[in-house]
Amino acid sequence: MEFMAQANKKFGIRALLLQGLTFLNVLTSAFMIWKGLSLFTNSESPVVVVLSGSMEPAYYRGDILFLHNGYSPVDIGEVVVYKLKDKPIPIVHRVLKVHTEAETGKQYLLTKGDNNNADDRGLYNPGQLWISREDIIGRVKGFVPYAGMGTIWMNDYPQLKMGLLGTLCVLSLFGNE
Amino acid sequence: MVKPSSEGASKMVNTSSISELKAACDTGLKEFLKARGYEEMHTHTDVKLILGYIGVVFCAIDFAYSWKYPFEQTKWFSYISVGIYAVTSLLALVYSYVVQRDTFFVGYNKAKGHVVSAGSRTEPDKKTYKLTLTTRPIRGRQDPPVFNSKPMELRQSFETWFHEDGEFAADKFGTDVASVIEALLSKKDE
Repeated sequence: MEFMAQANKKFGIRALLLQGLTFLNVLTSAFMIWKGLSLFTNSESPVVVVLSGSMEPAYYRGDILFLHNGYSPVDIGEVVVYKLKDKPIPIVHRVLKVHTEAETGKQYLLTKGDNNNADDRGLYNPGQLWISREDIIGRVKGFVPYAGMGTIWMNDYPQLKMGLLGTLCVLSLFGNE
Repeated sequence: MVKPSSEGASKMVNTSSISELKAACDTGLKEFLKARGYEEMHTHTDVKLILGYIGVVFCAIDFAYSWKYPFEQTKWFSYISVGIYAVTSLLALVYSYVVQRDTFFVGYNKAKGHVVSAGSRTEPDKKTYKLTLTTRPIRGRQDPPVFNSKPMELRQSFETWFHEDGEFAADKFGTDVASVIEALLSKKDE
């Protein structure tokens, strides 16, 4: 904190605040762009990485998917990303069956990975036979192949993540010279 | 001809960098005016700081809220904070381009009752510095001074104020600036 007192003496509090704001704006604009996209698509995570091969040959491990959830009902054949209650990992599979409750319009969905032999009832929580529209975090609207491999490597090898973060920190120190 | 400055810390710049040359002249102008009793007015900076930090605060609250609670529950607040962030960012941008423009220093002279605003621009291909000075009376004063209300310009090639080795000739700069200020503050002709 001593360097801040020195900087304050030399440049004044406003210069410090301005520098702080410039740095913070990098973080806030990134977060706000993500949030804005999230609100526009009505999806808690509008960009996801495919983690398994259960949707081959359509999507492979490492592909990046762009999602749009919106509010309309889901159709059979749509590829969706859903999250089961109390399970943190989202799943990308195709909708096989749809039941719509007549009075409320509530949807019950059955999903299956293209590359799997069985439908997802084996994956759902014990006793659960259907997922609901509220479990869907988005339908796949676009994809970029392989672009997500970096994320997968960093999750499989935590040292890579630490190494990358460390390198970025060191580089940012030199950038200000 | 290199003439070493006899005063204290003299400023050395890279004469091929237009931004460094401009920065040195801007600082020179600031110090010139500050030495003659002009206190800096930070209105432009304050507006941008306030707008910026409002955005930051809402961003931080939204980040914390949506980290702790599910998306559907926090959506309403995210709409508000994204909206506020967009509005404050836009306002700051508009302020910077429309209100502040080239201004880098605004100073008020309490004794004489006026405010001087200084803006500068460079012409990179011709390596010139264009300084624009405007003045207005301090608001709310009993007996406002009457001045030449047109903006005064000082436009010269950077060469005239820098030695070959990149040292800033503050004295020469000061003389040129002083004559423009005098013209600026001269009483209006009838």
